[in-house]
Order: sequence, then C-alpha cells, then structure tokens
Amino acid sequence: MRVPHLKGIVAAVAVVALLTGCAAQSPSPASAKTLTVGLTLEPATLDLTTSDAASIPQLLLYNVYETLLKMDSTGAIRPLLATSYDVSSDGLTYTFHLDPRAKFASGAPVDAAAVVSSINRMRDAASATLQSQMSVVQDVQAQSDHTVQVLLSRPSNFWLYSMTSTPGIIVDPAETDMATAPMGSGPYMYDSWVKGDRITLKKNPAYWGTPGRFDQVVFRYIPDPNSMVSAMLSGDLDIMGEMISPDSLPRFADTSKYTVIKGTTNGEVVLGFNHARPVMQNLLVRQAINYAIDRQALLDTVWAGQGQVIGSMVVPTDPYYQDLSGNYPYDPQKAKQLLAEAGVSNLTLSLRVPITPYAPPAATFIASQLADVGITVTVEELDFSSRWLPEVFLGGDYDMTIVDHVEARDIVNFANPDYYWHYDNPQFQALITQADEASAADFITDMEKAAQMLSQDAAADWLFVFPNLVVARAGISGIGANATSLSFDVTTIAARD
Amino acid sequence: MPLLRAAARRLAIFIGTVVVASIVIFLIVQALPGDVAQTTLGMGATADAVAALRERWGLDQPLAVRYGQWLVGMLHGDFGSSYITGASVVSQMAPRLAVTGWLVGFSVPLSLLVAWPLGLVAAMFRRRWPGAVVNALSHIGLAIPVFFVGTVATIIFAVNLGWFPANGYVTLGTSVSRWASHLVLPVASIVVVQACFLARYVRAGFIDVLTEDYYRTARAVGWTRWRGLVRHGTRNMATSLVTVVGVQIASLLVGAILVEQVFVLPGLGTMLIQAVQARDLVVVQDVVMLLVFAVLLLNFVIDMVYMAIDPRLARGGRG
Repeated sequence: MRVPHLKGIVAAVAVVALLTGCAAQSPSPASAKTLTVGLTLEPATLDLTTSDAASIPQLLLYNVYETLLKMDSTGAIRPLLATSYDVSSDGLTYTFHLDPRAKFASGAPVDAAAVVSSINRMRDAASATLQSQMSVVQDVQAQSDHTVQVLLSRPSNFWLYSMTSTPGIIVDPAETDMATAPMGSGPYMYDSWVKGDRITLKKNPAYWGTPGRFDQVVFRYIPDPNSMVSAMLSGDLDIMGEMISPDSLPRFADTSKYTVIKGTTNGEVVLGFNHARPVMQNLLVRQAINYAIDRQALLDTVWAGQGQVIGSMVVPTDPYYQDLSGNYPYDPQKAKQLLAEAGVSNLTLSLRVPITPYAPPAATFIASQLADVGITVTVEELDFSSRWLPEVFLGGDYDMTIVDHVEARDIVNFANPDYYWHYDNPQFQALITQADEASAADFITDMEKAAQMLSQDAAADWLFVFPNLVVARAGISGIGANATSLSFDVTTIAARD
Repeated sequence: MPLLRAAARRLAIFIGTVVVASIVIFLIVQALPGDVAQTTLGMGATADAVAALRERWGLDQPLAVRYGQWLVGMLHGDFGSSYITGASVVSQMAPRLAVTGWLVGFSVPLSLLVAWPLGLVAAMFRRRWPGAVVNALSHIGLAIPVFFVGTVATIIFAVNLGWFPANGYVTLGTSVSRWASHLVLPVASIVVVQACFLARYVRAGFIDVLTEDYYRTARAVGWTRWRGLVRHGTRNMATSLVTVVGVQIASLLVGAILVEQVFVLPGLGTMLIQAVQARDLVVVQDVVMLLVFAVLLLNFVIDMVYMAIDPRLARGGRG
C-alpha cells in the first residue's frame, strides 16, 4: 500500500514544480524598434534645475533636451540648436544663430524667446552649481526670431563649454513639471517611469533633424554589477551602458556576439590632499607621495588595467590635454630621500575614502605602497552621504581621500581655496582666471600651463582617468567611444537587424 | 462571549503596539546621519541653499510637531510627499507594494504546497531512505541563502538556458506572459529556501502526531498510517505551522529586499534602499511603518486564526 501513496505524493510535488515552471515563456526577442540600455544609478527626480545628480543629464541630455551647442565624442564643440555663434572682440557678447527648423516635441518652435526663457530658467535655478555656472551671464535678449544675444559680465571660455551641458539645455516654455514630465526638442521624448526599474523614452515623431532609429529606448537601472552582467549575458539588454566590474570583461570576449567599446570619461580618480593640514602644505611630502605610488600597477590591480594614467586634473579628451604621467615616475628611493629632506619621520596619515567600487581597493593598495617608504596610512571606509560628505567634504576632517571627479573641466576646483582640498595657490588662481578670459588659442596654452603647474606643485596625486566601458550586442552601432559629456547619448545609436 | 472579549483584548494590544512602533520609527529615522537637503543638492551646494531647502521641506520644525503631522496625515491616508520628487508617497508605494505582494503572495502558498508533502514523507518514512533524503535536502536548502539560490538560478535558467529573463519586471497590465516570466525565478528561489525550512516543521509536527494517543487509537481501529496522519494530524500540526508561516511571511516581506536586489525588482525593498541612500526620510519612515504594520497585523491575524483552530485558547490556555 505504501508505494502507490508515495507515488501520489511525488506526483503532487511534480505538479507543484511544474506549476512554478509552467508560467515560463521565453522572453520575446528584443524587437528592432526597441533599444534597451542598462545603467547603474536611477535618478530620484528628473528636475535638473534642483538636483546635480549626474544620472539626470545621463538620461535626458541630447536625448530629450537639446542644447545650443553639443560636445561630441572626441571632445569638440558642434552646432546643435544653434547653427553658429559669433563672439564680440572683447569676448563679452555671444550671438547665437538658431536653426530655423528647430522645434520642440510639442510642436512649438525653438525660437529666440524660448531660448531666452530657458537661459533665465537656468540662471534662477535652485541648484547652486547651475547658479555658479551661469553667474557670468549679465543679460540675455532676443535679437530677432532666430537670434539670441548673451551678454557676459566678463569673458569666459568655461561658460561656453558649460553651454554644451546642463546649463545650456533649452526647455520647452510650456514645461511646467520638470521633475516628472521633461519637455525638450530632442529626437526622443519622455514616456514613462517605473520607479525602481526603468525609464522609457519614445521617439519624437516630428523631430526637426535626423530622427531617432528606435520607437522606444528603455533605460533599465541595475545597481548590482553581477545582475547587470547577467542581464547582458541573457540577452535582456542591447547595451550595458556602464561597466563597474571590469573583471567581468572577459565574459564578453566573443566578438560574434558582443562589441566592447573602451574609451575615456571626464572622471579623474584623485588622491586628494587636505592642504589645510600643515604636513600636507609641505611640497616635498606631497611629491614624495607621488613618487611612492606606482599608478600603472594600481590601475592594473584596482580596475583590471582599464583606464589610463594621466598626471594632472585633465582628461585626454580635453583640448588642452598633455601627457604628464611621467612627471613622477615610480621611485620609492626618491620618495624616501624627499621625506628625509623634508625632515619628516614616522609620518602617519589618514586616508578616509567613500565606499565606491574603486576607492577602498585603491586605498589599500596606496597604504601598502606608502608603508614601503615609511608613511603609516590608516584607511577608513565611509558611507558616502552619511559620513564622507559631512565629515570629509564639508568638515575637512581628513589628510587624504580618493574620489572620482566626474564633471567636465573640474580643474577649476583647484582655484577655489574653499573647496575641500583647500588648495590655495594665488598663481594658479590667476592663471585659471586669465585662461577663462583669454582668446580661444591662448586659452589652450594657459590651461596647459595650469595643468603643468598643478603637477609640479603635486597639488594632488591623479591616479587614473576613469574608463568608459560599454558592451553592446553585435549589430548595435553608433555608440561614442568616449563619455565626454554627462549624456548617455542614444541619438546616434542604430541597430543593424 | 469569552471569544469576543479575548479578540477585543488582542485588538487593543495591536493598536497600542502600532502607535508605540510609529514613535520608535519616527525617532530612529530622525536620528539617521546625513542630511537630505545636503544629499539632494550635492557636492556643489552652498550652506544657504541647504538651509533654504530644509526650511521649504519643514525640516526646521520641532520634532513633536513633525511627528504629529505625520501621524494625523497617516490616519487620513496621507503618508506625506517625498522630499526629493515631491510626489505623494502613497502613489509611489502602491506599485511597489504590488510587486512585493505578488512575490510574497505566490511564494507562501507554493512553499506550503511543496513543504506539506515533503514533511509528510519525511515523517512517515523517517527511518527509511525517502525520509533521509528529504531531511538531507531540507538541511542543505536551509544552509543556502536565498540570494545565492537566486544567483545560481539566474546563471542556469537565464544566462545559459535563456528560458527566463535574468532580472527586471513588467507590470501585469503591460503583458501577462512577460509579467509571469519575470516572476518565475524570484518566486522559485524563495520557494526553494522556504519549502526546505517549512518542511522541517511539517515533519516535526507529524512526528509528534505519531506519538499521540489518538493516533494510536486510530491505528488500533484499523486506520492506515496515511489516513491517520492526514485526517488527524493535519489539524493538530496546523497550529504550530500557522505560527511558523506567520513569522515566515513577516520575514519574507522584509527579506524580499534581498530577492528584489538580485532580480532588480521594483518592490518595497528596493524602494527602501533607494530612499535610505537619498536620505528621503519621509519615504523611509513610511515604508518601514508599512512593513512594521504588516508584521503586527499578521501577528494579530495569527492570534485570531489560533482561536479558530483551537477554541481552547480563547478560554485562556490549553484546558
């Protein structure tokens, strides 16, 4: 009697197992009309006038909102809503000539009045960053339907660059709720948002320029690196937009299935020094630290060799980039000599880093290399918002820290003695101001000098430029190699099938 | 009506506990380090801008006033608005609750459906190989954390076999088949671990029954082992199982955070984690309150179910 009962039970278990599995249906193959992109950080709001979160322009810049000028993947400024611009000889007046074809997704024209209202919206923005970027703007006026004149209080090359990014976006004047319903003139329009999962953009059917290639673009937010890799391997994603686990690159080695795009970003991973601390004011100590760290070995260990050593606060796509990575070759003997010369012994330094994929492993590596030259480093890992921001960034309670500074042209932060490095070099500050106000050609040479000055002065130790690592399935094309702007630009992406 | 009086007493205790819990949650959330205004404005914020934002969000008000506003609001179904998006928390929580609800709603009955026969087999054949096998399997299942099961399931069924999507979620309204296919792996991962856990309780419950007088009597009058266990054992075992299932649902609601992370499901768990990271205190407070409320409600319901299964309890203790 027992056996049939057992069979019945086994059958019941099998039925249950089948039930759990029977809902199974292979996911519908990605239709050629939908592009699915995996990104890491979901924005909390879409209003980029109140929040500086890089995740907002990553989604909206160029895709939904357009700017007068655009930064291309090589770092060059290109026309977008403005076909051209003129600068007065004193560098104070910029005249933008708008493309007469340009219109918003709502159908309204991108005319001078719309541009004026948008620039004023950015000047009045709640974001302190936007306010400071727009602070040189004295006045903005419509000269004609398609001509806008911006008057600056002083000449500024940095302002022109910033117009290719968030401060320069042109918002539809009909826009009332930037937090949940962004309205721009780009080839894609905001469609929907499933919080915690995805934001969907749809094609702007009446786009004024070359239309987008997809009916919809889905941005899926996957914070966990392993889940992201699984989603890419299982075919759920067309593009893995950010790879924060470079160790998994070999899994995408099959070139018949995947394309791996490697480039640079605007992110300099900086070993920052707190110049308010007397010991860090000693040039010899700062130089000794620079000599004591083998940055290429660090990059190989911490980030699988992806990325590039740089040597100053300038990335390879900046027009004033020069390779300064040889200024402090790895030389522990020299480091010891400099420390002896500085009369420093038994030096103990705190290295307080935020918990990010790169900072704690880099900190461990640095602590061991500095130990070799006789510097004791105490490493502390801090939660970014609850500890690092208040204690290190605002409180200045640290000797050294490590952060990836992602903003474009953020070398200017070294000219601000109130910034958390407290680097106060009047010569450098004068040089940055001079460069900002110089002609386009002098700007480049001045900036080269400024970068060299920072390096000579060992104002920090620039560990490496953060790599742009993107994996796409075979058949996807048009992804820019370098992330020169904050945008994950899908406007040029196409699928072969 | 002793039953009614006992129920009323339980209800009063339940309400009192909810109020105390709300005070504790409010105070803990207020004590979280890190400032939402600072976090929102980012590294470029000036002190003035931070102060202005704090004022706009009412963060400069006294604690008691803010607690009062929160409590009164909740009683009216108004859970407040997110600091960061400005949207009402209820509207944000509803879709999240649905995801977690599906997850728990499918996992619990399926776990029981798997655990009941497994436990029965383990009890009936506890000295033979089927019992040993079930017992060993349940031990192994217990030792494996659910996120590991989920990761392995993803590698096998999504990456290698391609039967299911690796992660993500599609709402029921968008597509029923895609909704279901996104839930299979997360639910199955929970069921594997939960069923192993519950099977041990089912087994222990049935083994207890085997030693009871009524079972021996049933056997003596010619009932089969099977019939005796199923007919007499199930109800007696159910009391202890209800407790365990109750505790399991509560821990699943909270523990779904792990599964939601592995499978990138937009449930309450991911909502809570995102809100904590952004220091969106209103959302943190509301989600935690909801989870605590659910757990307390569950305990209350279990007490009621006890009384229904075993009316002796309402008369005060096992008579």
